[in-house]
Amino acid sequence: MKVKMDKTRVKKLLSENIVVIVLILLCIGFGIASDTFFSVRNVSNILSQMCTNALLASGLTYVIILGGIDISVGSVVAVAGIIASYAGLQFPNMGIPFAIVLLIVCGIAVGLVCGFINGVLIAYFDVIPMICTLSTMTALRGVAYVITGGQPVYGLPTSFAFLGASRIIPTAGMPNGAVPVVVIFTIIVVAFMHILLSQTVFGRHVFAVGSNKNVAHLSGINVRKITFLCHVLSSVMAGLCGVVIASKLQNGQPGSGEGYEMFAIASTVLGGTSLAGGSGSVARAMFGCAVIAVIKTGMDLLQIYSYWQNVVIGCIIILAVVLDMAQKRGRN
Amino acid sequence: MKQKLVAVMLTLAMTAALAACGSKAEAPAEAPAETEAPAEAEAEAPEAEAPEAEEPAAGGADLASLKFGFVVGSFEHTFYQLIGQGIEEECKAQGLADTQFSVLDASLDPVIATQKVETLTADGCNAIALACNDAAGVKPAIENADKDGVAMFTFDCTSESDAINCFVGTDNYQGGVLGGQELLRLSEEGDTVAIIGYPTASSCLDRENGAVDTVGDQRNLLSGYDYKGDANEAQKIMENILTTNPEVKAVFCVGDPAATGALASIKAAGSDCKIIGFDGNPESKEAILDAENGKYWVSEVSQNPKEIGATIVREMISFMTEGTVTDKQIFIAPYIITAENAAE
Amino acid sequence: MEPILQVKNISKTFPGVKALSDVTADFYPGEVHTLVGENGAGKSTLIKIISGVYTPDPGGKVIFEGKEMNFTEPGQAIEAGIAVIHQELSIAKDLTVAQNVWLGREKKKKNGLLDKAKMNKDTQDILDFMKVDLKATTIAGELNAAQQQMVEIAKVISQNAKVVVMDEPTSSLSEHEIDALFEQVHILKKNNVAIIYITHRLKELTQICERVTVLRDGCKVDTMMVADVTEKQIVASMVGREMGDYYDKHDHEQGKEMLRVENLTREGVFRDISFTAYAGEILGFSGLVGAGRTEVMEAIFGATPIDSGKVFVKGEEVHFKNPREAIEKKIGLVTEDRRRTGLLLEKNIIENTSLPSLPFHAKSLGFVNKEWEKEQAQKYKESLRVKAPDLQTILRTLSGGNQQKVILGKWLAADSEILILDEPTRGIDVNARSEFYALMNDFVEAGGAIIMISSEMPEVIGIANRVIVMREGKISGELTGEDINEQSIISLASITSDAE
Repeated sequence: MKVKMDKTRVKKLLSENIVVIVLILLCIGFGIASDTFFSVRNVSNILSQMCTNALLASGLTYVIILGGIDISVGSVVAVAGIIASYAGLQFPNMGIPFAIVLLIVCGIAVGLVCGFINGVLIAYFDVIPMICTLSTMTALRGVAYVITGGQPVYGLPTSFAFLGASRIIPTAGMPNGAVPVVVIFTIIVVAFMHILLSQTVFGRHVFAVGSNKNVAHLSGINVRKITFLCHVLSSVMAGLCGVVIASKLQNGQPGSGEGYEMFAIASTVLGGTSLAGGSGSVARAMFGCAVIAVIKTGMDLLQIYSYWQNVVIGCIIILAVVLDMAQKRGRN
Repeated sequence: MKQKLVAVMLTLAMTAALAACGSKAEAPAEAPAETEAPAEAEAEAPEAEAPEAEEPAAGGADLASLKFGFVVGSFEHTFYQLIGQGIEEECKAQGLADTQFSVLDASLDPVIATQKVETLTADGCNAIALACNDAAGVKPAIENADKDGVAMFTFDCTSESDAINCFVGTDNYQGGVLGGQELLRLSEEGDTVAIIGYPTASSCLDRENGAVDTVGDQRNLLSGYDYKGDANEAQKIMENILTTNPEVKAVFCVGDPAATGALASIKAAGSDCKIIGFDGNPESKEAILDAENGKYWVSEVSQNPKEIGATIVREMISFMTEGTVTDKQIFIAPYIITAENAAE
Repeated sequence: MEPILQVKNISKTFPGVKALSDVTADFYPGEVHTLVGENGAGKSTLIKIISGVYTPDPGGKVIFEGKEMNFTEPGQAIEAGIAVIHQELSIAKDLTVAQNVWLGREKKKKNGLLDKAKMNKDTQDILDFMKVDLKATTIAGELNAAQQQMVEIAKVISQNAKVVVMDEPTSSLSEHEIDALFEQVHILKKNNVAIIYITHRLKELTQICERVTVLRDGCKVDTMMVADVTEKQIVASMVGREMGDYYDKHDHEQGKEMLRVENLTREGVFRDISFTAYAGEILGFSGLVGAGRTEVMEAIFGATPIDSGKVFVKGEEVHFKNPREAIEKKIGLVTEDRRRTGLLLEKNIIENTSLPSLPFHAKSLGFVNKEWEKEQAQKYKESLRVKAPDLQTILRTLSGGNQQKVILGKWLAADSEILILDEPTRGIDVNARSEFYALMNDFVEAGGAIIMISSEMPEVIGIANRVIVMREGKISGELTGEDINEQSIISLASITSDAE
């Protein structure tokens, strides 16, 4: 009896933390294959490169737990970046603190507007999330091109780039700073999202709605309101991701964020959030982001042809989903 | 016990998978396995040898201790594959080991280009050259790498930054002028001619402007299209042009993918509109020589991608070892290919 | 005359429940053979065995045209010539009548493409044969319930079925439509088809039926020729069963008024529902499945809208727009279908227990009060004797009885004073039941009010202090004290000719 318990516990531990195991194995593999992989510089790079994906994935975790999906995030990224860039052009002499506030305000504002549209349609008009966000994805991408006439928005002051492109805390090897500002920003936002989901009544209600809408409704939860708010959160995260990218590039790109939704969904699923809804975690999704960032950077360091990176990422996602399914089947 | 076994098996599987991917992936890049034998250059930890200077260390370096990084627009385009080949051939000709240079792909996305520059910097590259398909978008990346002590270069398309030590590219405006002249040659006064452009790519915008300025009022000129670098889009654009202006005599495509798309539409519509391509990719030469396709695709403004690749390598080495470049901007002249000289 | 279909010594055991035991019956061609019995008597299980949905326990036999059949799936039964028209029609609303008739058995041309012309023509021929005014090319969704039933019958004819099972076919039809349906039944009979008919409307027996078999608690009571018996005799054989000894009715003192409902109406579902529930009593709601009891309770709870009527909680009028407002007024609803509407199956005991009450006990900034919820879960796990290894146990792994206790715990944690229990002991084994009844008695003795919907006669009789019976969306009577017995409940619940 005791042996059996241990066995199931180990199995549970393994399957729940498969993403962590994959990450560790990947790091060991790349660490052996490339000398530079574990350098402070490279680690700081990987962290900064996963930030955009991490922001998107932390918001998507909420809608995926609901059993929904949001594929419009890539287009929200573009619109937010453009709006922030136009806003930035109005203040050519702005200082760094002002620039940070401006970016965050723009990101949240655009996210609120886009999230409101998605949320109302999905929660109050019962439009299927896939169809709804597919439409808003297309429409918002169009909006991005209409606003800009297809041209990037440029000529922004250097202070604008602080949030996305700067590094602080210099070290001997990296006199310009070892810690990207965007990493600090992302950690704060993601921590907020994680606590909101795992520690608050709102978060608990998200899980309840995702597990069973009927039960949630009959337990006094406003299912529509929760659905609405999750979509708003997802879009706000996309908005923040958009302004981070605009800041990083120091301009607003109408084509920015195209295809990002797929990597963000992949990270979330890799992190064990079930596409069927009801379970998931922001923190685990971050491990999913890390796996994807490590694969991309590590394979670049090894000069593995870029096409292969997509093949490998695709295979790892399939692996994650198959394991998830196998786990579910095992239970029933 | 079982836990251990599973862990071991997973590690094995993962390593095997990586090894398999690694060995296969190198084939297209024509680079032999390099992970087993790190060169002397890499033996020094990048942390230790990272240049402290604010300014890139120009000149005086030992070639064998240097590492070069390249970021091309996208390997999905023949043009960049040819630049990549030019880079590789020249690197080997200059005696660089395989571990001393890497060529990465930016998928024509400024965010990815930025990440690749960061990765190469982390990998300890002393000099990086990139194609700035989005001039404004990669500027912060160029300047950040420069601050980190990497000597920055650009090729094909450049960005406005003091950090760039040298740019090698096609004189796109001049190429556009050649294209415009071909439009004039292939049509007569009063005829309608068209340009399929790609205004978000600055190089293509220069080409379009060169052609527009050359043609001027001499013909009824249709322009302002955006094929977004996608042959399929170009095909649709050409279809629309042929629907509204069936009498169009010639079309100048600012890139070979556009010419490929336009060719499909023109053949389908049974029009006798002539095509002038731009790039000089192998497929264009093949089309011009082809009995059927050569009836439409008659002329090509050819760049010299291999020469661009080779030149940027030479300039980077010269800058790192001797501290000089031939010029801040080097233009490799485009030239016209027609059926007469296409075979060469 | 030889029976075309025989069932011999059929038993069917589900985990914890014996649904059928040793049932034997013969079905003859050209005859309507009706199965009657209360909810849970085993009628549905029997037809599911005949139609291949379930396989009987070893020893039971289904003999069709003299051969023993071992159906493992419905397709085989249809193939053999046994067709079922379910109570809930299985019509694809976006397809045409002909497409529905041939669904899954589409006719093909030699080249593999659909032979639409032939299917349309054959369907039209069948419809004409049935003398119904329908076109084969009409979209099924545009038809009314009675017409859709005709499509089902056309389908059965197209299958050349020799045995047709009809599960409460008249439940959603008007008087006029029923006549049209019976015409079809007569046509089928004339064509020597054996019909197995299930109904709660006993007056239909004399209209179309030759033979009747009464089932009770999974056993066959008797098979009779309709011509030889009266409706009263049939009712008498449906009831008259031993009470289980696990019922423990307490004579509570009726306390103050907790919930009063006046003239509650939702068009087409229930009408003029008025009753009062008092503290200290268990109020039973009896009636047939589909009488509208669940719908009334959901409406009171704010889960579904009402068209008119008033609800008072402790004398104060309320207008619940959603369940949350009902929960705030200390009402709890234990739903009929635990797995679908009662529990978060993949979540643990703590999360399930605290679900409705979490917002009322949150810390500042909306943080979950984890100590509180753990305390509550522990408290009710102990007091309700939930058998589970620990509080982290996922609900899916618990037995039905323990799941039900967790649901009860969640409403107790929400300080509920009025509990509405919808079929609270469905799928729960005997021991867990008596425990659950004891918990219910404790609750009302502590001053709460319980409204219990139950389709199980012994349960209502054995535990409720007062019983309201519903029939077809209306309250058909209220019983107290000695009047609570099977005879009176059945006569109030059934649609007999006297009742109409």
